[in-house]
Amino acid sequence: MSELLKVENLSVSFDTPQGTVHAVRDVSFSLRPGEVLAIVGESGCGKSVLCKSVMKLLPGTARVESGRIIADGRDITHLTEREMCRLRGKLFSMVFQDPMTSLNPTLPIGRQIEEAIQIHEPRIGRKALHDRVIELMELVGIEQAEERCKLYPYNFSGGMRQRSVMAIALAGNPKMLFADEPTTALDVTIQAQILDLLREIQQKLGTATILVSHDLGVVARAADRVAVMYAGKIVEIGTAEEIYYDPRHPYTWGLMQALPALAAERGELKAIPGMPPTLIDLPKGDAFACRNAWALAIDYEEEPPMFRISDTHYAATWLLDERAPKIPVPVGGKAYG
Amino acid sequence: MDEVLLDVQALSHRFRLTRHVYIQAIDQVSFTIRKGEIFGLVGESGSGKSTVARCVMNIYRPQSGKIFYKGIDVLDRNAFSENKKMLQTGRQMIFQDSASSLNQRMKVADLITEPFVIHRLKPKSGSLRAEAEAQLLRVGMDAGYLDRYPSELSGGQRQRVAIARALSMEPELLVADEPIASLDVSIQAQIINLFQQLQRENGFSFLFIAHDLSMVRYLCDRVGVMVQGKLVEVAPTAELFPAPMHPYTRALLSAIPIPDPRRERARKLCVFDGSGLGPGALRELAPGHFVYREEAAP
Amino acid sequence: MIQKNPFLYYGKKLLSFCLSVFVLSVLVFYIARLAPGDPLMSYYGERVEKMSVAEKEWARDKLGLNDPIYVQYVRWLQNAFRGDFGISFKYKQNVLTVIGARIGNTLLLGGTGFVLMFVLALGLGILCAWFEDRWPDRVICRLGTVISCIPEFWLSLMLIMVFAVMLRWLPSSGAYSIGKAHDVGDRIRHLILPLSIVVINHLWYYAYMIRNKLLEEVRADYVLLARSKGLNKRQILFRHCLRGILPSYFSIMAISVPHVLGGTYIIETVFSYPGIGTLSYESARFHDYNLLMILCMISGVVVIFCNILSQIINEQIDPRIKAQEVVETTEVKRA
Repeated sequence: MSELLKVENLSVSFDTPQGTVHAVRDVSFSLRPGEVLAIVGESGCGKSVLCKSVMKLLPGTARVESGRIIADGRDITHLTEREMCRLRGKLFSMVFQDPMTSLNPTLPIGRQIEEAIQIHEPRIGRKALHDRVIELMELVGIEQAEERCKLYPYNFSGGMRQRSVMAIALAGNPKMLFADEPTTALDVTIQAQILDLLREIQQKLGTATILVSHDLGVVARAADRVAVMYAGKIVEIGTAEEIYYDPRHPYTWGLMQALPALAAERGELKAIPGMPPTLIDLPKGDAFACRNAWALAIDYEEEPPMFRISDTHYAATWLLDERAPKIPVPVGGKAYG
Repeated sequence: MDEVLLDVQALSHRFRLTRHVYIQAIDQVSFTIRKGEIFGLVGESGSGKSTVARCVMNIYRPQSGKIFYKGIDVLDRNAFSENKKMLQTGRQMIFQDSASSLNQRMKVADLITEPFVIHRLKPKSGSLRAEAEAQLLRVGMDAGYLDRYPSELSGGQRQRVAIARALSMEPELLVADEPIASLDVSIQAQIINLFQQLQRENGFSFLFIAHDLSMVRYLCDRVGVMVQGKLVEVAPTAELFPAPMHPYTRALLSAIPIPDPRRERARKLCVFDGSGLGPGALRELAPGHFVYREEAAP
Repeated sequence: MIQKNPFLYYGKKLLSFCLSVFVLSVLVFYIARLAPGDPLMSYYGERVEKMSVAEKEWARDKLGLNDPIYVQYVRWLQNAFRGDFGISFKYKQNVLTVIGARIGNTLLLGGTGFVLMFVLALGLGILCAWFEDRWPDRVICRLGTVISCIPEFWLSLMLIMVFAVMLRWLPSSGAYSIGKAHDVGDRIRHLILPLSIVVINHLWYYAYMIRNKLLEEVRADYVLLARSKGLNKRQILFRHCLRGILPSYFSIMAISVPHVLGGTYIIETVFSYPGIGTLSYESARFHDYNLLMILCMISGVVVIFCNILSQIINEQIDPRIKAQEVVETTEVKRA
């Protein structure tokens, strides 16, 4: 079996007093065993909702409108909460943005890891359980695990807490790990360490990872493949090299040009004009059209399908249609490769 | 260009927690900002950079040190009250979270012109409303937003309103404490471009506080690096980024992510071991390039 | 890291306790004597009216009521330290004997009511949180709002009317039927109505509090992590969320002791239940100084003790409060 996770035409929406929010719209992608797929997009583009809907961690107001989620060869789209409980932690697990709040403040770290192990191995002996806790803590790079497993989250710094969260997430030997902005709340110097840890674990245990981030810089360090999301849709997906060195979607260009790290070398910071649309009433046609300097007339009429660029690289923009005018790509890795 | 606008000398501030326990938030920080200059202050959370900004704005009263704005000692009560109006209109501040720093119950028009009402100033455009409209146009928003409340705006628009409000007084010093940290990448770029454009048009000096080093590198003329309450390195941007001297600055700069997979994966991290923070002082190791050096106790 | 010296910590608490009790005793002593009314009424009853001025003066002298108040206070304090709290003017007995006969009843009513109330409130709160915004939650919340709006004396009267007068299932007043002082079943029957009032009246507030605090915890980020590692709803609620709210619940329990105590006093009066509630009412009305003093002191000591207890619970048990301390101390270490 080649794919660990396959999401087909998934649409998820929320009911709010203001109206129905179409958070994820017709998203399809797959995740192969042992790879790191990054999902990049601005806040509210649905990247976090996408992960949570695979794990069914969304609040009651959310519902899957259409589409299928196939994990490990099994259709999990309509599983009950009880069945999902059995899969969570074992098949997939998740790391969250803010390590300050994602650990229970009233339980020692070691106990929280033990709990995660016991869910899937209820008969595990005391000694074996303790050894496994220490092993996990060492795996995520917490030194002096023997003493530290008795400490409470408040004794830990942000980076250490994020490591503990990862130990908890890895306790059930999951095949997939969802990391939702795992470094956003951390200081710059800690960020890279956590990313390296993510990469290291993925190489050591072969855990496939979905890394959600808004930061193209962060993603470059860890991702094998990158998916760019805008207004609930994946607009471009490809290998990291393809996305960074040969981006095709105007939104990806915009994101790159807005990065100060590249702008400092070029001496120019180009912003994307306007704001992302609200996901309640979306404009007709391509949701990005009104912010797109290269928008074609058809963009305002009809949503572009996914155009194939290579076997791994796809983008949803009419610019890739045969009839579209050829325009020079404004960004591309060659210049800074 | 070389005239000094703000001169901070040996500023120290500590927060009292209990009777015997203090946090030394900033420790002997000295720097100057020249007229028309964009000065960036960077550091990780808890390094004391916000405290510096608040001391400069007379929000906190520092424990020791001096702050001169246009040669006026702003910490001296007499000097302050003599120049109160000039100090309060000439220095303006923008906060990270404009959702909470703008009064939720006031309309955009009233928010922008409130400084005029407070200082009993006559707006140049005649009426307050016309002034609000003019200021809003300057930050790239149209008059349609005048009667909105902050909660009806997006984060980027709220930050624009905060900027319009600050700039309505035509300040000579603008202090911005993490003004883009809570915004999306594409909106960050819009706000930074706006800052740059307004700064070119109005020529105010700008104290820009941030943790995003690439943004500081792009925007600022000179940069100060803070760690654990100490200012460890001050240098022109063009000198600091290629040749950092303090071990902490080196570690910090090595951690900036590069949006380029091949280079980013090859990048080696440099870990800060906590050295170079003992008692000492800033030394000018190259022209305009100051580095904190430990000194042996006498 | 700065470690607190436990002796110093508890010493300080003890000191503040003693100081509060002392201030309370002074206040009660003064206020009782400054209030208008004639204490001789309670000692001599109707006879006071027939007494001459000289006789009254003599009686006052005998009871020590003519001395300045501070002299009276010092005398009271000296005796109190010897364990002598004086005699009750009304009952002409040592006050401790008078109270001793009644306090058991109050402890039974208040104590059982208190425990029952908190167990029930916890249960109801958890139930509501589990069924958030579904019918069990809605029914319980509405019912609670309505019932807690009814004043307790009125509710007592209604219950007496229904269960004692109309249905004749339960006795309407007292602690036991005449001649059945040692019949446990009879005592329990007498306890049911006042106990129900104590519980019903205070229950809702605490149940609602538990519900809201639990729901606040359920929305916390760590619940997402707990769910993503495979815990089910029951495990998360009982192992994680409940753990987070119990320290503050305990501390609120401690603070609410006086609240419940005050309620008990009123209910005792309505049901003519021979506890210290009715006794306090009498003693205040008839200026039975010594009795009033000791009753106030007992209530006061309980209140102050419970407040300090809740402080200690808050400071010692809740890891989040410790967390703040650690943040502070680590930053200090850094500085």
